Amino acid sequence: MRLPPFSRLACVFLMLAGGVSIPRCVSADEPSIIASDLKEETFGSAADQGRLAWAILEAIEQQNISPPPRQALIRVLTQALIRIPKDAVKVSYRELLERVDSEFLQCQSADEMAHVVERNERYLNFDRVIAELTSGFGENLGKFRLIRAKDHEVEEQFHGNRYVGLGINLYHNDPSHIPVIMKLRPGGPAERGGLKPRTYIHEIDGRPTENVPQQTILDWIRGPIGTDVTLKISHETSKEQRLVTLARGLIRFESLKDRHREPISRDGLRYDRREPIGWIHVETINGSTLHELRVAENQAREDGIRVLMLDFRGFGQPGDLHQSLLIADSFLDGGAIWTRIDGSAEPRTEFADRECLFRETPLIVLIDWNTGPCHCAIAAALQDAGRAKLIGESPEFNGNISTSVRLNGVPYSLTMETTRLNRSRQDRQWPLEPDYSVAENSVAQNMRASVNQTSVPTGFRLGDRVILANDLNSKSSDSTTTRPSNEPTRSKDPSESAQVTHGNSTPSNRVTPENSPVRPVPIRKRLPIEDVAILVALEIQRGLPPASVKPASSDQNTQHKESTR
Amino acid sequence: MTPKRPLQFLIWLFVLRLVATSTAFAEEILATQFRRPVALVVSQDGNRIAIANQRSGTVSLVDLHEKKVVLETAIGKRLSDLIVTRDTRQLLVTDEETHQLIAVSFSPTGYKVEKRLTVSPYPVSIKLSEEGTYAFVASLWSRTITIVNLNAWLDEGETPLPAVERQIRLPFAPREMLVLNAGDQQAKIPSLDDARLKLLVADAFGSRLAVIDPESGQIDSVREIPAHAIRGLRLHPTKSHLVISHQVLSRLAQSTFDDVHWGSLMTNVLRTVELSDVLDPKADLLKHSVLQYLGGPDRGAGDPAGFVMISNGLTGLALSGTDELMLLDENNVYGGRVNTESYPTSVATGPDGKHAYVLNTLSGSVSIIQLAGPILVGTITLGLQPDLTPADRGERLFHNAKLSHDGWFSCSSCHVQGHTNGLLNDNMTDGTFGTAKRVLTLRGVAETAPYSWTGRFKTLSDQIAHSVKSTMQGNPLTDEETSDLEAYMKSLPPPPALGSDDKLAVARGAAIFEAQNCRNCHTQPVFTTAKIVDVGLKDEQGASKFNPPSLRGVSQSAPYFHDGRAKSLESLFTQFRHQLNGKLSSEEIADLIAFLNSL
Repeated sequence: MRLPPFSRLACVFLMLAGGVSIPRCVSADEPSIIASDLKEETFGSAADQGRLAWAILEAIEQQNISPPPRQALIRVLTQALIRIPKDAVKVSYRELLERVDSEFLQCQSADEMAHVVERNERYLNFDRVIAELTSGFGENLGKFRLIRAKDHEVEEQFHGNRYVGLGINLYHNDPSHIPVIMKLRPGGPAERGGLKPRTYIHEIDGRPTENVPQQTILDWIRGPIGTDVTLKISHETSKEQRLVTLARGLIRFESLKDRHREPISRDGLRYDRREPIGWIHVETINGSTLHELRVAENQAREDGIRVLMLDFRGFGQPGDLHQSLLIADSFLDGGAIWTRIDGSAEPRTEFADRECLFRETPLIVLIDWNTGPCHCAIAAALQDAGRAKLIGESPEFNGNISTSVRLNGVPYSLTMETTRLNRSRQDRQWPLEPDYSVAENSVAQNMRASVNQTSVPTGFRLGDRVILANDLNSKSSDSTTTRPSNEPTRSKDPSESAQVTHGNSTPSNRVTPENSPVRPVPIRKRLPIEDVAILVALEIQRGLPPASVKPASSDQNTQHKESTR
Repeated sequence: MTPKRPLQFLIWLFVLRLVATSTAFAEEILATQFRRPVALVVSQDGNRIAIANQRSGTVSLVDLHEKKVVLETAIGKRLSDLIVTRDTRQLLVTDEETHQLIAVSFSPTGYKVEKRLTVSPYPVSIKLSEEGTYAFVASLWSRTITIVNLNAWLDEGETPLPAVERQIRLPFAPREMLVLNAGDQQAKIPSLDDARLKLLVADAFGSRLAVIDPESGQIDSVREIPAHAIRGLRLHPTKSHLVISHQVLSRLAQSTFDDVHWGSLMTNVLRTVELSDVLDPKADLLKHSVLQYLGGPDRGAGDPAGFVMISNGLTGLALSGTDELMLLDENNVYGGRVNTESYPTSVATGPDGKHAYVLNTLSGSVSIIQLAGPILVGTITLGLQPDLTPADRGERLFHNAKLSHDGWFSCSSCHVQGHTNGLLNDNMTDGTFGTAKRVLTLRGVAETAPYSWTGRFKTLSDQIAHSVKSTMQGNPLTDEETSDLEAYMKSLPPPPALGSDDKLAVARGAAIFEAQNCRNCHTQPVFTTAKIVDVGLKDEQGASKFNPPSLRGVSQSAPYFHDGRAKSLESLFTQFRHQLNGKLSSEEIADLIAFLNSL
C-alpha cells in the first residue's frame, strides 16, 4: 500500500515524536501526531479567526511556490467559511458569498479582515477552513496544512536533532486507554529515572490521562528543557501506583545507521568484513547529519572503505531542505548543486564548495519509491554531478519541497510547497531515474529470472566467488538490472565480465554456471537491490587505483628539528 | 657552509650559564609591562626558551629548570617572530613596527643587537633554509617575501655581498611559512626530477597557499583551499605530507543554533595533504586531502593555532580560542585537552619530547604540559603587567571562542587579527538568511558608523551585541564586555595601504576619483558615508541598498562587493563597471587602482 505523502510523514513523526510512537500506525491516514489535527482547536474569537485568515493569505501569497491569485484564494476561503445557520431566514447563499467575497477582497490588513469576520460572524465558521487546508485548499490550489506554532517548534527540534522530551515510546491506541510506555530511549530522562517498558501512565502533572486525546498527552509530556514533569505510573506486573518526577531533556536521534539500521559505530561501516564496501543508511536528514557523516568518514578511513553505499530507501522521511543543501554540498567537490526557486525570491543556483567528504570514494545511492523529498534532492545532485550511481526505483518526488512557514501575528504555521528545485543538469527532469533500475515489487520472480539468465546463485553473498555469464551491465532489459544507456558497452567475454572474486583464490576456482553452488537462501524483500548494489560496488572498486598510503609514524631523528620552534 | 655546531653550541650554553648566574634575581628587576609574547624557541639541550614579546619589543630568556625568566632585553618596538641561526650563535628577530630583521647575540649582561636590516614593511615571520644560508622573511601588509643571505649579512667577508638577495611580491598577505628542502622532497617523491629548495607560504587571513622557488624568485603556484585563518603549517614527521591547522567557514550554512552547534557553520581542522600535490603546480592540492575535525558538538575547538608533531606520532595543538592544548595521536585521534592561560598561539617541545611549552600570548606566560597524561605541570609568567585597560580586556574577549556557543569560534575566527578572512557568511545581521555577505574588516572601524552591510546598527556596540548573540549564538554580553570589545575594535588602525610606487599615477587616479564623483559615497577622510546607497547589485532577497564600506586599506580587503563577486579592484571596474560614468581607458582604470592602493 502506498500511503499518501502526508501519511508517510505522519508515520515517521509517530515514531519520533516524544519519542512517542505507536506500534500500529493507527493515525496513519490522519495528519501526523507531531502536528495536531486541530480538531480540538477553537481558533479564538471571530476577530482572531479573521486575523488567522489574513495571515494564511499573506503567507501563501508571499511564500508559496505558485501562489494562486488572491481572488481565487479568497473565493475558496469564503466558500469554506460560509455556513448558513438553520434559523437564518431569507439569506441567499449566492448573495452572501458575493458580499463576503468582495468584503474580503477589499481588506488591506489583518484588522480589516478581523472586522469582516466579526461583522459576518453568524454566517462564517472556521472549522471547515481547516478541513479545506488539510485536504488541499481546493484541489487546484496546492497543498496546505495548518499546524500549531508549538508543533512547528517541535518539528524544528527534530530538524535540528535537539528534541526535548522524556525519551519514551508510548502506545496510546485509543483515548479511552491509558497510555503505556513501550520503549525507553537509552540514556533518556525516563530511562535514567528508572522507568521500565510496559509502564502505564495514569497521570501527568496531576491530570488523569484516561479519555484524553493523544495530542494532549504529548502536549503535557513536552516542554522546555530542564523543566519537571511528574508522572503517576504503575507497571503491568503490579497494581501499585507511584509518582515519579523527571526533568525533560535533550533526546538525540542518530540520523545515520549501519546496514542493520543500528548506530554505525557498533560494527563499523563495512557491509561485509571481507570487502571494502561501506554501507550507511541515511535515515533522516537533520542538523546532526553532516556531523555524523564527518565521524563516519573517519570510521570509513579506519575501515579501509573504497566504495560507499548510501541507503536512501525508506519511509519517505521528511527532512530539512537547508540541511539537505549542506549534505549535498558536503559530498560534492565544487560545481552546481541545484537551482532553487522560492516563492519570494529570484531563482538561484547553489554551488558546492571544494570541501568534500569521502573524497575519491565512489558513491552508490540506493533509492526506492518511498525515498523522501530531501533524500531525492541530494541523490539528484550527486547523480547530476557524476558523483554517485543511483540504484533502485524511481521515487515519487516531483521537485517541490514543503516547509512550514510561521504565520504573522497568530500562533500557527502553514505547511505548504515553498520551494521548487530544478536539477543542476538541465537535460534532466523529475522524477529521479536510477542509473540501475531495480524493481522491488516482483522480487522473487526477478530473482529467479536473474538466476536463470545470468547464473547468479540465489542467495549470492558478498565474498563468494561468482562469475556472471553475462556482464552485469549488459543484461537484457527485462532482467532485474538494466544498463544505463550512456554507459560504454563492455566485453561479453566471461573472463572480462563482472567477476566477483575474493581472497587469495586462484582463477581456477571460479564458479561457472555449470557448477555454481546454488544454495537455498530465503528470499527477503530487500535482497535483490542490495545484491545489485554490491555487485556494482565491487565493479567500481575493481576499477579504482591502489589505495593511497597515509602518513605513518616517523623515525626518531626528526624529533629534534620539530622541537626547535 | 658547514656548521660547527657542537663546539658553538657548547659556547652558547656556557654563555647562557653565565647569563643565568649573573641575573639570578632577574625577575625582581623585570619591568612591569604588557609583553604579548608571540614566538618561542627551545634550546637544543631543552634547558632554555627564548621568547619574542610583541608589545614590549623585548626578548625574554626562560630557564626551564628554575621555571623563571632569567633575562629580558629590549631590542625593538613590536617583535613578531624569532628563530635561532643554524650555528646557534644568534637569534634572528623580526620587528613589524621598525620593519627590521634584527640579529641578536648573547652576552653576560643580556641580549645584544648585532645588526639591523630593513626588510619589506611589516615583517611577521621568519624561516631559515636547511643549511642556514638564507633567511626568508614574510611581510604581511606589503605582501612580500624578503630573502636574506645570512652569510653576506652576518659574516662580512672581504667582498661584501648585498644582504637582501631578493624580494618576491605575493598576491596575498603572508604569514605562516614552511621550508621544503630538496633532500626531503627527493627522498619522498622519487619521481621528482629536479628537487629544489621551495618555500611554502600561507595566506595570513584567507585561503591561499603559494609555493615559491627562492632561487629563481618564481612563484610556482598560488592555490586556494577551503580554509581561512591558517595559523599552523608543518611537514609531517615522515616528510611525505603537509599538515595545516586552519578553520573552514561554510558559505551555505547559516548562523543558526543548529548550524553552529553541529559544526556546520565553522569547523576547526587539521588538514593533511600530500607533499607531491603541493609541489606539483598542476596537481589538485585537495586530491588526497584528509581533514581531522577538531572538537565537536558540546565542545568546540575554536581557533586552532600553532602545533608540534612529535616523532612518536603525537601532535600537540594550541587551541587559541578555548585556551587549551589539544593532543592527537598518530591517527589524529583525540588524546586529551589541557587548559592553558589566555590565547595560546605557539607550541614547542624539548628534545626529550616529553613536555610541550605553550606560549600564552595574551596572559604573557608559558604553560608547561607533560604530554603523558596530558597534565599541566607548571606555568611561567614572563613578568608583571599593568592592570588591563578596557581595550586590553576587549582584546581577550575578541580572541575568546567561549563567547560563541560551545566554543566553536571567536570574533577573530572571521575577523582574523581584526581584519577579514574575505569569505561570505550567512547571518542575520542583514535581517535575512539565504543572503550570505562578505565579512568586513574591523580595522579602522571606529569611524565607519553605521554598521553592517545594510547599515542596520547605528553604533558599534549594537553591532557587537548582535553579532555575539546571533551570529555566534553565544550568551548575551554584559554592558562592560560590550564596551570593552568596542574599545578594542576602535583601537585597531585601518589596514596599511598596499601602496603604489608611481606617484604620478596616484595623482591621476585621484583626479579620476574626483571626476567620477566616487566621493559621493566614499567621502574623505574615511572614504565612506553614513548613507545607505542603492549600488545596483542585488542580494538573493533582492536587497540592493547598502552602506558603502570605507576605502581606507581597500587594497587589502579583496574580494569586493557584498557577496565578493569582484575578485580584484580591476574586475570591480572592468567587469562590473562599479558606478562608472562613461568609458574609462585601461590606463585610467590602472591610475584609479593606483590611487585606491594608496589609501
